[in-house]
Amino acid sequence: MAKNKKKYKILAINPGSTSTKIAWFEDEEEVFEKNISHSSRVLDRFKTIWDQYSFRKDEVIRTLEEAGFDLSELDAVVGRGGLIRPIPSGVYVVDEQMIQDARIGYQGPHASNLGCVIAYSIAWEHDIPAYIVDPPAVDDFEPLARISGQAKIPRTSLIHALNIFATARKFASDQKKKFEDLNLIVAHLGGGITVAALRGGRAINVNNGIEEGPFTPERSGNLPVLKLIDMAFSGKYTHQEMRKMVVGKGGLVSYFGTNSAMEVENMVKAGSERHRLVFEAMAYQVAEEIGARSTNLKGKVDGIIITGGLAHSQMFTDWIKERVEHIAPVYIYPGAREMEALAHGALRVLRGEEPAKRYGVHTPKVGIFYWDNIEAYVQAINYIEDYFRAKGYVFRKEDSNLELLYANCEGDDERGRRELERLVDQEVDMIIAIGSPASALAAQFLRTYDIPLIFTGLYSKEILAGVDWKKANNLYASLYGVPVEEQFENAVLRIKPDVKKIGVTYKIGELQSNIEHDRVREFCAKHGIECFSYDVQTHEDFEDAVKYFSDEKVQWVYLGSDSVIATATAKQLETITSKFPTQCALEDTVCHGGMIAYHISWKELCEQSADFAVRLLNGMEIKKAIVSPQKRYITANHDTASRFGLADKIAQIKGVKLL
Amino acid sequence: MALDIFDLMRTTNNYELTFYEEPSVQLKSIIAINNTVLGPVLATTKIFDFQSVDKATQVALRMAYYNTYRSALLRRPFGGGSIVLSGNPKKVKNEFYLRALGIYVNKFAGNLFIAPSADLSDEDIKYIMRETDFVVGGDEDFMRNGMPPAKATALGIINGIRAAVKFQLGRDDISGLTFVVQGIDGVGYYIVEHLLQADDVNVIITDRVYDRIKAIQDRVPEVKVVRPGEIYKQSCDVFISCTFDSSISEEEASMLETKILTGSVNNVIYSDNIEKVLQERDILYIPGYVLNGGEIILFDNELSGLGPDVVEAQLNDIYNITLDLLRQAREENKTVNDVAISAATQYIENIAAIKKLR
Repeated sequence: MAKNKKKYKILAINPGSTSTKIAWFEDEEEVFEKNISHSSRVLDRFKTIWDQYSFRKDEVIRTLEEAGFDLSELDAVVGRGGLIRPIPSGVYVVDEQMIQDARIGYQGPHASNLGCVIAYSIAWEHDIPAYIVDPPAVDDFEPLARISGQAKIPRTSLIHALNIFATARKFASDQKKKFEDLNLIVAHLGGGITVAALRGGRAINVNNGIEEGPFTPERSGNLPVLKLIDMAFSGKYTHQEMRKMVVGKGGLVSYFGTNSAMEVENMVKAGSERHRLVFEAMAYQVAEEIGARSTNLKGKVDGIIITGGLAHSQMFTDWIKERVEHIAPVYIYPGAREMEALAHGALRVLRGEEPAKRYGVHTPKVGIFYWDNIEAYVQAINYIEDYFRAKGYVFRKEDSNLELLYANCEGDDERGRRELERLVDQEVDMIIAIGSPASALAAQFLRTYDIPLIFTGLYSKEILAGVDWKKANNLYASLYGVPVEEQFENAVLRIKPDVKKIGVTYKIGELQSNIEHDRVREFCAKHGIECFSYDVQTHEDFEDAVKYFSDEKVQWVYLGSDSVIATATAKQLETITSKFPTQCALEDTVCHGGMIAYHISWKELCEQSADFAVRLLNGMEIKKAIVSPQKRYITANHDTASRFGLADKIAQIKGVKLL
Repeated sequence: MALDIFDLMRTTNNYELTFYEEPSVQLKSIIAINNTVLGPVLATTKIFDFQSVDKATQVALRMAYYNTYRSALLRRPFGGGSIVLSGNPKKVKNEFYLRALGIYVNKFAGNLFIAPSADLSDEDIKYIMRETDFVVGGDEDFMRNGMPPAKATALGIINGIRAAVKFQLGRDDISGLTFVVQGIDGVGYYIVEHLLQADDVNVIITDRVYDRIKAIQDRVPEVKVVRPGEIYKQSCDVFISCTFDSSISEEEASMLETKILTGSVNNVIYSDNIEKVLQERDILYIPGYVLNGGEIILFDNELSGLGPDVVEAQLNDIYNITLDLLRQAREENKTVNDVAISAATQYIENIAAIKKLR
């Protein structure tokens, strides 16, 4: 029976002006939702919206406790972000900077400013992450969209991002397409109306929901500017009254004194021509805005989506449809799916499907530090890059959300130090060190810096002598060393259980090689096998090694993971591999003519390192700082084995991969 | 293994331990009396949801033990004792619970005084006073003109820290220094408030309860905030632990990047062995009971009718006492804890000897 997968439990919090909506999700499923109403009598007690924090938080917790939920079971809390500084769409980790901006109301006071701080607070007390998803402050504008026509007044984005992106994602999923591959126009029709052009998953243009675009049930949208100026300076109205005329008492309210579209629709149905004129004009202006957005996408529109509360009105959407369906097919998704959007955003991050972004202007930088241009290290870089891509990171492109900086030691300590200095100067957020030599150097050089270090393909943690792993909170490692005993038991001893003499190459001065060598000698001593060691400093030493092993009549040779073996070509290795059956520490050595290796997967190991990096970037918990892939592989070289008449015997080993 | 209560009483020098339960008001209490040579017990009260009576008994006995010494170090006429009550202080307290506690305190016939604490507010004390006169910190006139007990404790700790800074860092002021405050409720709050008033001082705070963080950050946005799990990694000059529920373990001690470690709870570290770890790392450790007697000075003034205006000046005693102990510890190559216990014990013995003459 399939093992039950753990369900992520997520609390979504969406503060509105007179209520706080909460929902408890278990994976995609909403198991509880409640709209907690706050009377204006209570809210009026607070001087500012920010002061409502404790009251609303207590209400949220009380409601959940009364409903029998245990907050300690949560995996994350997600809040509706507020009018913070303009940011690209996405899921963001709530941090101190965001809280500061929400506190001051960077783009104005709004109940949604409380979303991030209440989420942060609950997450703080349960030591779990807090996120916001697509706040109204989302600003993905392309440069052309920022030009208003008056140099002193740049255009800014203010968008119903949460519902617009959620509906667009839902549409993409319904169409079985990738959201990022679609060109869409999404019109959110509610108390406010925003119509966005989405390209590559970004809202490249949208009418500012407060002061531009179609009129709405209570906002005036675009107005004739000169008449507005004359009115403002007529002396009849205060500044506040003018603002209220545009936002709050504009739109349907200004014509009929109500912000209820349903009431107006009923009047239309009852035969009121005046109501029909105004109501249809609102649809007319929405269609006009959709037409404008289609030009932003140069006419290449995959679909027009109409969503929000007003999309429930077929009369209204039909009026829009008849004017825009020549542009692209129109799809109606009535209602708002804000709670779902919040929870699903958090879920994507928890599942590792999307990276959570960092608030502010910071694009995270990851340094990749490696010893030399040898094949295994280049491969490691490829695996790590692939993993980042799979997790939604983009680098070396215009819309990058991650910067990768590469630093090659070129096999030289001094150069390695200079490269590390460069990474430090460039303020990398973390460094991934590939291979034992680079890891040892980075650990030594960076011991006084507070930069997380991820060791990839470290032979064993003893390589980093002097590192106090108990105290080291910024060090992570993926280990490749399969215990020597395990290697021998699964290769040499299976093929030649009575082996009496083994040769081993190692490189004096290379710590991991010396540790490995000691372990081979310990193993041999324990099993009564004579062990003959030969120090190989360069590839030229292979011939002498072979001579020594031949003189001592060794039966097998162990080729370790030192830099001489790791960088040897098949031709160079042939000196040894053609003379002796070889047990190899590295899979790569088998590819280069070694006979057999019992090993872990280099790819899996690199992915584990990249996973550390992704978790750190997303502020997610890392339960174990030192890991090693559990799965083992046996790889053998058929031609080499045939040369020693061992091909058939090796082929019988269960699970062996023959090259 | 069950707790050997008598053994623990012996090792903590406690001579009386009483358990009291009043199910009708959900009151469960443990009272430990350590020493009354210096005077009636001034009991510290702690309310927490104790899952195990053994654990709560240990807490009661240890608090009583250290309370004796902190009174003696300050040469104030109070014995050491403690009251440990079961329950979540936010939920369990009500008029009847508190009045029942007052009735219980009354049974000690003046040998034990109860005082406000982090878990007993001024309002709570008023209920207790309906049933017993053996209360300090309840004199409204005195308190109105004075300072809250937690503030007196905080200022005392700050004075002690100034002595430590002088001794360890050779500095007469704290400007340019970085302070970590772990736990910002009650005493921790006042410590942070005081530090933030100083010029050019960096303060890093954390607390398990985010609301407390927010309350400070809303007033002083530039204060650095870290999550509780991150606090031991912060590099600082002085680490002040003010949390009752998380004394510092050996692993945490080995992570500390500070020059001075102290706090508001009697013993900041989990076990005495950790002192060695700190010594090896050249971190000066001052147990909390050496510095946290500010409230005792406050209460002593209330009972002796001296008035609140002299309290602040008397809190300076903690500077001098601390500096003397630090110098003595260095001269005798002992820990601060050792010399403090020995100085306090000596004082108690001297008083006991004098009392025999009466």
